[in-house]
Amino acid sequence: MHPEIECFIRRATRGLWGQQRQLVRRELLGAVEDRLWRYQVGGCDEAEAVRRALDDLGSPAVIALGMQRTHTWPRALPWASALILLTAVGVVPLTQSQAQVVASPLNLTALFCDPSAAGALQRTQQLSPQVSRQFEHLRQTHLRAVERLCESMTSDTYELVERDSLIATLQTQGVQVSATPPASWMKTVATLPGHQTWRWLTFPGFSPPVALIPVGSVSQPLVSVYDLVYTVLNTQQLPLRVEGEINPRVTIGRTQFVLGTPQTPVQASQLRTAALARQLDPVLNARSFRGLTNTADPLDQTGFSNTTVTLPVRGPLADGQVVGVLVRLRSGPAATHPENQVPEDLLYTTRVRAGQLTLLQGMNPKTIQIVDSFEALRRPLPVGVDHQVMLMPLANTDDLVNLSYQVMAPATLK
Amino acid sequence: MDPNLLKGHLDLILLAALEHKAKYGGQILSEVHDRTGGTFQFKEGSLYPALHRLEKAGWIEGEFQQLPRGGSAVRFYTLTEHGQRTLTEKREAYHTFSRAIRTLVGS
Repeated sequence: MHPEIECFIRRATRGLWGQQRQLVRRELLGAVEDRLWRYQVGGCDEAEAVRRALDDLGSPAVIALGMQRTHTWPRALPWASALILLTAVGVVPLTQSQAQVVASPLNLTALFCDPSAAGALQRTQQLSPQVSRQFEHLRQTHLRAVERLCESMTSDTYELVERDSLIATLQTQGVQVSATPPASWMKTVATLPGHQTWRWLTFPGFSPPVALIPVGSVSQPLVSVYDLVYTVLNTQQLPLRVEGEINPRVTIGRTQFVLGTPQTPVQASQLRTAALARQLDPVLNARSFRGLTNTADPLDQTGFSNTTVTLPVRGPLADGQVVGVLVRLRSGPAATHPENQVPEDLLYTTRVRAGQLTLLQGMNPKTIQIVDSFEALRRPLPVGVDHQVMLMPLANTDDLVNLSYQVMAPATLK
Repeated sequence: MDPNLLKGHLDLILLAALEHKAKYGGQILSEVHDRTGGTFQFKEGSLYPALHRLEKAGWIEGEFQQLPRGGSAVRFYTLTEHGQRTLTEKREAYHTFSRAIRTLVGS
């Protein structure tokens, strides 16, 4: 496949997973090839035909966003849950403080993914009878899908913050907030569902504005902290620093605020993962990868039992060392579908603790490969290997902009 | 044209485009463009999330089919019975609304 087309489809299917991604990918490929064929029959050379065909399809980011909002699996489950919960439970937002952003007062993934009797009890207590019944029905009819989703979606305590709390905090720091998109985006944005909740942030001294795209209901919009960091870095190379592990102080340009409150704590690891993902995407886009999915640090998860495994880390990794973990997995035999030849990638950041690395349940690689360059990530998954875990030691993890370029050589570690 | 007008009627437009014949994305776009004299213009990519949304609602069904030119298959969409009923309802609602607006603002 032409690399530009592969890159386009990869971006357009970002955030989708499994069969849904395959479906959208196949449909978009058919659409692009149809356009391509028409332009080539019309006399265009291949490069020009590709350029025009992709231009006809529009922004891959817009397609990805629309698809994520349409398909709830897998990343959107907590968001869909947020929608259900916030309308069904009638959650009251916590008090805002001036420079402290209030997180969503719900641990959504724990609530929905805990398979124990305690989890079921919690659902009956916190959800309306109808929503509770609907969810238990979902577990019964799509158990494997729910389990797989929860494995890959292990969540920090709080991964969402209240949009209005974030906006109020940013405004006190001089950030201009507008509900009107830039002129170049206006036409496209207006066709997307939920665009009424979008906001455009102009940080002092920087342009263009950053799109703030919430999830959840219109009356209670929430912002994923992962998406916030990813979008800021994706829009422009604003200086972006994070200090502290719990309720981190975030600096974007000259703007400072704290994500999370003592009552609704936010972990810093998912901010680092977003920064790493943003800078890994171009690397992974250069090959026919099926895309990067993110998950939270399994060390941060609460309310679960037997959801993680630990493996001894060989090599000179010191306790407390922050590492990026890239998991590559082939979902099935290549003979059953060509897509299966291409591994899926899962990324998170964590810390080495007591000489051990915490992995998500279900991940049981024979070896863990410690890499010290991004070139190592470009190497194809060897034939016959279906599961690979790569570990990247990271230095100076406060600086999110340069995070991915500060991979430490294992030899330099204490 | 105000994009909000397009957004408000996108479901009706797509269902109407599929009323008589199964079509894939590029054909739907051409149909909408031709039948409206180019009034509605949007990128093909923004069509697919909308089509998937209609499919999830059970109003249309998608099926991959090979085109004579070869290459990758494209996904044809067909209106379901539920979709046909929805189209009728939305069409009636639109005409009622349209008549009311014309009465209000004058024609």
